[in-house]
Amino acid sequence: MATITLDTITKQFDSTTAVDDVSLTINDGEVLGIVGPSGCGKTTILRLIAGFETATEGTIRYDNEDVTHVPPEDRNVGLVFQGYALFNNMTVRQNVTFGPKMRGVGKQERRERANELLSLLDIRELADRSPKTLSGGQQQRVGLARALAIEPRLLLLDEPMTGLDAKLKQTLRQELGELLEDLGVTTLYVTHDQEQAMSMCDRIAVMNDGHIEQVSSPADIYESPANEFVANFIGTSNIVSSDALKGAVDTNAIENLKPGLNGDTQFAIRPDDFIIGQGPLKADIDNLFYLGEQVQLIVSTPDGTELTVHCDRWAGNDLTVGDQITLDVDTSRIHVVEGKGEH
Amino acid sequence: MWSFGKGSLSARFGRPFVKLVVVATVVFLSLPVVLTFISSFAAEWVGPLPSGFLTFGNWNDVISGTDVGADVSVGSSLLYSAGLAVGGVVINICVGVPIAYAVARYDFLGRSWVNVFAILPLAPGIILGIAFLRAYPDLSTSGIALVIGYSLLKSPYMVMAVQSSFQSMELQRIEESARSLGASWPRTFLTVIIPNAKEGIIAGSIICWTLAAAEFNFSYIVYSRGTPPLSIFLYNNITNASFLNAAAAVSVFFLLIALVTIALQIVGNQAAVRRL
Repeated sequence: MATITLDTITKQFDSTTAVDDVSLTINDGEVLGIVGPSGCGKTTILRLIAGFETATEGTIRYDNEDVTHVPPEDRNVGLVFQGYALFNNMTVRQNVTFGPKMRGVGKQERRERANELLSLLDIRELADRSPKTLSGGQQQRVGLARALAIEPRLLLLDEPMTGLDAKLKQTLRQELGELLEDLGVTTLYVTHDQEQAMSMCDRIAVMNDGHIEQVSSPADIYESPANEFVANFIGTSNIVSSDALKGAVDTNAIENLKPGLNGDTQFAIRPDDFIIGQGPLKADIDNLFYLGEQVQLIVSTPDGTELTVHCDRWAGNDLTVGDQITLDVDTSRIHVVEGKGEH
Repeated sequence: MWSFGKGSLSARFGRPFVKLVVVATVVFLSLPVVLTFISSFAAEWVGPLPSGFLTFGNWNDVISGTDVGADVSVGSSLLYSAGLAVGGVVINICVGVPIAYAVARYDFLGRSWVNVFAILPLAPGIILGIAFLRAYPDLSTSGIALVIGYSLLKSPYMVMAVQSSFQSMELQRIEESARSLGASWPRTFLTVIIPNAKEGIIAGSIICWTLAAAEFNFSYIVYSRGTPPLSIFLYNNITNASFLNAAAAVSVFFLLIALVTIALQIVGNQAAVRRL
């Protein structure tokens, strides 16, 4: 295991800057998630750390060792891809022992190590099967066992659950989370699925357009988004100006919390932070979506501001499109967002 | 109005029509082969159908090499041609697999041109044969010329078969997984990439070998003396002997191709079974 440090890393592909002056630390034993929209540079960061790309500028260190120019086979990094990239010309056991074999581990030891990992991941009975004959979930476990078999300093997971069905994803997410916690291996988890990142990672880095917008704990990122991009990307947010909230909420209270506000200040309010049925803000229901555990309301205020509001399904059952409702929001739940996060 | 419901014309007659076309095509293509094979065991063919079954005289003439058709036995010609075709396939594997890999894996300047040159037939056999005679007059009468010619003429089939294999796998990710596990690039290529493309390599080898063993135009131009390649042997039998002798020679060739194809497929399947 190791502490991974990216120091002012820039990566350019011809005239395109995929990663722009990024500095990031993954602490020893930590699970750090990188989330962001497609093309934001998150996979490029993973590939830079793995050694498949070389940084245009900046340095990458494993503990105090500069590995910026070290080839991937010498970095001791375990890698699990979206499609798992298992070797179909080998059995499951041969897949798992491949890494230790390349690193000169003796036959007996690598067989024991493989058996141990296959048992840990509950796929011991699949040891002599071809990966081609396995289900998606089983392949994911084999991919993980293969990556862990080299006892990596760092585990890199690149969208490892994409393509699995929702129920299996939920099960594997829990199992993988527990496994990573038990093993204490430093892990970088790259995903576009914020729910996975929120539930599995100790910290999350939100990326946009080659930059890191915010690095913090899942709760902190959700509750206190650094800017409009983070507020919109992580969960759903209503981004409204202070003018739109005048008369509806006590903006003076917000002013007390965050001095120096003006008319252009933007506020972020989560849909589940509204209180329905009381308060000074009147709104008409334009649309209504039943989401299962919650009901999502799309409402508009008298000045035309559109808001997304969530309510419990038992409360939402009495509402229909066209109804007028009253809303309130606790000022302590309103976040001031500073800019769109553009660079 | 045309409709595509249950009672429509396409629903009622579509499937039987397609079946009829397939059966007619298969019969049309296989009838000459079957008829040739059957007639190779006939004593004579006067009238619409062969007669005087069952004789092995024609096969005996071809196999023992009487002076009726070719002046050598089919055995030596077969072995010689099989060897030449194997040589061509080896070159195709050595050159075609890396080209297919490079085109499937990397994005480089001139990639599409390399791809076009690799999968387009270079020139007709007869043209390449004449060019060989002009460019390498000393080399052109040897077996080496035939091997090189066969490999050049058949290389597109190897490249296409292997490229298709590479494109059907997560080539970059498989390679990167192996390298992250500690394998160097050459080791990754030899122990992971090539075995994963085995089906394509076997398919390409079968096609290249079969076509090289049967290549006539290039062989006819370049071959001058010594043991003739199989296609020249067949030509000699067909032109100098009776049709029934020629039928036996063609049957030997068909049989050989079928046996080699089956053998290569068994090798491939056994390897797949071993993996399971």
